Amino acid sequence: MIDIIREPIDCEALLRTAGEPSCGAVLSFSGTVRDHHHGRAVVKLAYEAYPEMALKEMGRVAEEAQRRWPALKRVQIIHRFGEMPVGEASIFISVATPHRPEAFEALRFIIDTIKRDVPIWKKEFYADGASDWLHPEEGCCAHEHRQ
Amino acid sequence: MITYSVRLFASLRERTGLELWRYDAPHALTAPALLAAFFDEFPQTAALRQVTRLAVNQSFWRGEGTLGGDDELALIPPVSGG
Repeated sequence: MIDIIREPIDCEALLRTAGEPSCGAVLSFSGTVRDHHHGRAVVKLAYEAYPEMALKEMGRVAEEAQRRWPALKRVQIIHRFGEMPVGEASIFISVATPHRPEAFEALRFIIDTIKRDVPIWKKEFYADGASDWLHPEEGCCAHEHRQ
Repeated sequence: MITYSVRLFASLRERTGLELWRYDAPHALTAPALLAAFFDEFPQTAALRQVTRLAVNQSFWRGEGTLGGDDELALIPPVSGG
């Protein structure tokens, strides 16, 4: 299950479909809208996607994860776009493997690769009325990108 | 002459006021040449010049050959999804 949707992500429903009988490890990650950025209060976010390519890139990320960790039995990746308030999930990822080490590694690979290669962009709206597109290598978030 | 149509997103779309940039080239261009033409035309986007990638038919350009007029092209500034 890989998708890009405009409506809220139903994380509980996705958790129910994340596992399978051969898997003893089911890990999930949700990225949620944070209320601050560099000390500025954030009131909401808007995500813009190049949807056709974003869906393909998410599929390529999942395929590459399955190539690197053949034990990976099940992957779900759902990204939301459009406007969303603080606290709501912008992304949900789950992975299921027979044993836990591969699940941790694969999940980390999937979220890190999505943040590098999937064409989706975040615009932050601040409490002071200003707004900014985040392009991490442009300079505003360079410290985050070097991690 | 070849006319390229290039989709723009996020701050590139806002800073140019365009969702689609059309560019008439005298001959087929490579991706770096098309990127250079874009950033020369829109100096207000200069901060993204060194970090924007070109997507060709919904994949990142891999450094081979020239671009066709019927290729689906898009400029991909650094992404911030997740």
